[in-house]
Amino acid sequence: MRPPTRAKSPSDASRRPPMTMLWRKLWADTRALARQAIALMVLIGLGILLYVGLYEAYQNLDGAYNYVYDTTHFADASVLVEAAPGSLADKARTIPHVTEALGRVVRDGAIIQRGRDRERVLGRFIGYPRTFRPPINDLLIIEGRYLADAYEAVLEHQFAAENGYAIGDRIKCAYETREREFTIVGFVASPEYIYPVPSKHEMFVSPGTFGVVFIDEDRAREWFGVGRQITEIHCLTDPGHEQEVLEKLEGLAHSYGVETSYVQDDQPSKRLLTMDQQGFATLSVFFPIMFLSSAGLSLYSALSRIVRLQMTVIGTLKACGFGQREILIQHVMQGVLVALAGAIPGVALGHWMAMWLGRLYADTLHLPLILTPLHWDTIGTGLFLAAVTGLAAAYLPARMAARMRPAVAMRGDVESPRRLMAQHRLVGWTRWSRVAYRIPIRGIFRRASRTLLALGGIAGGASIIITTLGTYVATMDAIDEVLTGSRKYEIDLQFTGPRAIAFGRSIAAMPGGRAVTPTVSVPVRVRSSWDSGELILTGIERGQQLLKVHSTSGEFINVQPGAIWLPRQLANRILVEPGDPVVVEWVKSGRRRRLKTTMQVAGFLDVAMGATAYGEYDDVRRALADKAYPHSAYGAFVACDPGQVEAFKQRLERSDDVALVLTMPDLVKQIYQQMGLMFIFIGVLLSFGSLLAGSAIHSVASVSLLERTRELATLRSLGFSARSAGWLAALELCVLCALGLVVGIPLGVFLNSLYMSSFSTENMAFRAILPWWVYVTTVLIVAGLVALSSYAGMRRLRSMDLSQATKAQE
Amino acid sequence: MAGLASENSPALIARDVWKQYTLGDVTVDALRGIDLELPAGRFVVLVGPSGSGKTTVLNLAGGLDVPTKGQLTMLGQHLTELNEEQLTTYRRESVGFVFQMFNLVPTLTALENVRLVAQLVGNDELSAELIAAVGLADRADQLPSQLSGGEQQRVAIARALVKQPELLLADEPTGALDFETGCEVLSLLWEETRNRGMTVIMVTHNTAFAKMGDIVVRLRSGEVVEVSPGEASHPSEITF
Ligand SMILES: Nc1ncnc2c1ncn2[C@@H]1O[C@H](COP(=O)(O)OP(=O)(O)OP(=O)(O)O)[C@@H](O)[C@H]1O
Ligand SMILES: [Mg+2]
Repeated sequence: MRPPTRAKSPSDASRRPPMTMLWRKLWADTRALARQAIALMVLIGLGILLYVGLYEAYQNLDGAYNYVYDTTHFADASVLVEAAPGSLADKARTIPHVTEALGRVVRDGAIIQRGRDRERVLGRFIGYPRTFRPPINDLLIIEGRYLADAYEAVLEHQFAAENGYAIGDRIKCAYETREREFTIVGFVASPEYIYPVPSKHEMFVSPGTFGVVFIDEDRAREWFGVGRQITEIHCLTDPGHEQEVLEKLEGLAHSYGVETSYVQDDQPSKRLLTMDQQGFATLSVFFPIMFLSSAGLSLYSALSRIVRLQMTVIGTLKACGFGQREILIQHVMQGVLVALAGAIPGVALGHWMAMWLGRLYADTLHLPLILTPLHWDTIGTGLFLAAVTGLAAAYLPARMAARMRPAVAMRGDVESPRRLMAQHRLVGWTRWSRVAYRIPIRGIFRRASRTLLALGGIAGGASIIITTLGTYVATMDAIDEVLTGSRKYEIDLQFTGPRAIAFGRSIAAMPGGRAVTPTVSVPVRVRSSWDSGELILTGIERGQQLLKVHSTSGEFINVQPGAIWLPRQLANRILVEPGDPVVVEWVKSGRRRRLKTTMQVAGFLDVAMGATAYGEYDDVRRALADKAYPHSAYGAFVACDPGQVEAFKQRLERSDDVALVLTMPDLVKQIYQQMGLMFIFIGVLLSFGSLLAGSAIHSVASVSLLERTRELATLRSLGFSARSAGWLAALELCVLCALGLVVGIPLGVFLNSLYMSSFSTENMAFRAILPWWVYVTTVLIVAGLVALSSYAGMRRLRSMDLSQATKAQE
Repeated sequence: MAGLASENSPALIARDVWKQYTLGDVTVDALRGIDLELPAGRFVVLVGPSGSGKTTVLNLAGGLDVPTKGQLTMLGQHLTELNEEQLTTYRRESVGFVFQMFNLVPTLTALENVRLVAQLVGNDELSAELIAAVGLADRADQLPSQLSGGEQQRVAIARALVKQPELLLADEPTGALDFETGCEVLSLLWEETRNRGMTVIMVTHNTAFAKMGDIVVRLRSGEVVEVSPGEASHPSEITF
């Protein structure tokens, strides 16, 4: 027995009102083109997936950060001074729009951890009240508890995890020559160290080499010998008044020597996080737009094709009395439905991808928490974008269908004789004696809109492939430059002070040691008559062989006294030319210690990571570093036997003269960790780009083969073999792809440079380099896709039922 | 190529030819054991009710399809034993097709449609001559969409003739045309094929047109029910 629901008599259907039949037709049409409809849904789904996935990831990160910022009352304006009386905080409270102020004492030193991987690392010690929680820059307790007495400390949790600290462990800290020990009672997240960097000059800090220790404020004062003084003042302000408050605050602190000051958005950790987030935001807009526009184009061409295929049907419907509006709505809905059908799984997968990215990100950055709610605004926007894409793609074909005059429609003429005739006359080279070859060429001219769409799809796909490969190349280039290209040493040493330089000279003579060259670094502001920029000035010895930096003229730089080599990004911004004089002043130069010198621009550095300028060692030392000490760093590059890096490192760490040992393998590990996400993106984007090119090529192939079933079958019945008929169709595909590449390659080159510059900041300028293999790979991928499509098409052609196909409606 | 087969040797020999179409569980017998011999150089007209298997016979004869069962010999070649490559050669060298819906290549002009096929067999120089013979010398550079149905069918006839095939197959060549235009097209076909001594198998629905055949074959439900001599009259003499 049949279930009663399925027992529909045909008269049921015929009794429905005509509009319903029209909807049934819509459904049947869509099903008949299921393969193509699915391909389009996938394309639109991918666009929406990327948009929702990346944008939600961005929102989730934003949410996680803001949660930390809000619950901890992250300072809106901060001023760092050498030392100021504690009463400054009370004065700050009287500034209009300041709602709260906190003075605190902070010093940098070393954490000594014998028996752990790194025996000596940079430490920052911050004094906090033990009887109450600070009203500004409070801490999120991740594990354990807050300070309760003077011998306790809480530790920034990422550092703790990297170095394997446990609650109850002791930690030994050194400030200048005075050492103190504390018992660890808690691990915390601080809004100031979500991305743990000591200052804006030091962006690449290996995980675990910079520890922030929060201790009792009174104990800190006694330890640092600062009495009742403070070194930092932080304020909360009314929204929108941060900058204004900061200026007043600087005024108040002026006489105490302002070292640096910033509003919340310029706080080093927040700046870095914002940069990262902007990357997400750029990606979440850039790639979805590419996908949706090509999905829209493909949808447009598919729907135009449906309309053309159904001309006689549409004509008949109109002859039967269906109005323009009904036909228009019907065809528009077809596009919108396909788009939404693709978008819904896209949204779901996108949400999943956002959660996955969030987790990945939280793990990489050791974020304390990551929130992954459903972002209805983003989901809504995604669905809206899909619907708009569908609507936009469907409108023109729908209008064409609606406006079609029944008489013309019934005739079923789809060609544009005028265009073909014009081509027939104009393009002499298609008048090859072999008439058969004219078919593929004319196929291209047959419908300009369709050809342009196909070209757009192929060009779009090719340009995504180029951009993706370009991203990979630029990333590898940056890494290569940091790691291998320019650095011929294994260890980057930082000494405890200028006294240690004597020790430095003896390193090369140690077992396993090969060469050593001293370095000196000082944070400076470089000022031209137009503008200024901050960066680290590093002094290196003349003729040293351990660090080789390229200049923009392609040679290695050679330092000279009185001359400074600037990263090209900075030079471009402050508008200087080689030979120009620039004022180089210590960043913290203030009324108390004015420290500056004039140097001549020697040339520009061609570097991706552009936070460093170079000068001559003795020159930099004498003019700036020695006077700025202890705010300058003395160190050395050390070359040793590659197999002995670890042993050498341990030997160095045991010396009291050494503050920090950074090995290249550590750096490599760290950079790859940071780049991990990037490589995942690159892989995903490359496959998406190929998919896009593939779908464009497939749609061209299906148009040139399947839409012309009757034409090709006729050719075969006239005596052309399946192979030669197939070649004719494949030739059209090849010509289109070649044209697509001609457009797509320059487009990709352009997009690549645009994309790279959108990612670049003054400190990180990705170079838009495209080596030959990028072009070759792009062409190979496209050619491979063409071959695949042609092969599938030829197989179809070979198995074609000629007796059927010759009578098929074109 | 024309006239290679002698007057007496048959152009078509069908021995118990079956054609079955399987649609899911249903099997349709389009042809049920056709036995037929048609002499070469004659104008054969195939008539019968709709669905009787006329198109199927033509498709088999032209090598567009293969019988399910039975032996089919065309112009001395056992079609049932040919592979795809040999079938292509057979179609290319021995058969000309004229379809009901013309099936011209829409992007090629009238002349180019003829030359396309002419070049396949190396008869390019005949193209212009044939376009003129079908009365379209002044429309040679127009696209199919710019021609009327009758004109398109003339192009299709020129395209079929230019190969100088031994066998010309026409499936309702007037099906899409009005009676008068149909008569003109058929006159052309009749004269041109007779002058060249070709074998023609033409399907028609119109019993009036059956009079132009030398032989009339009547099909019903996939079987040959009658083979009778026709009147061989010129189409222009035919009236209702
Ligand atoms: N591809 C196919 N699949 C299934 N059945 C088919 C197929 N082609 C033809 N038939 C069936 O075979 C039978 C003969 O078809 P054929 O096209 O030869 O008829 P015909 O005599 O040419 O009819 P008409 O005069 O209407 O063109 C019909 O019953 C038809 O339904
Ligand atoms: Mg038929």
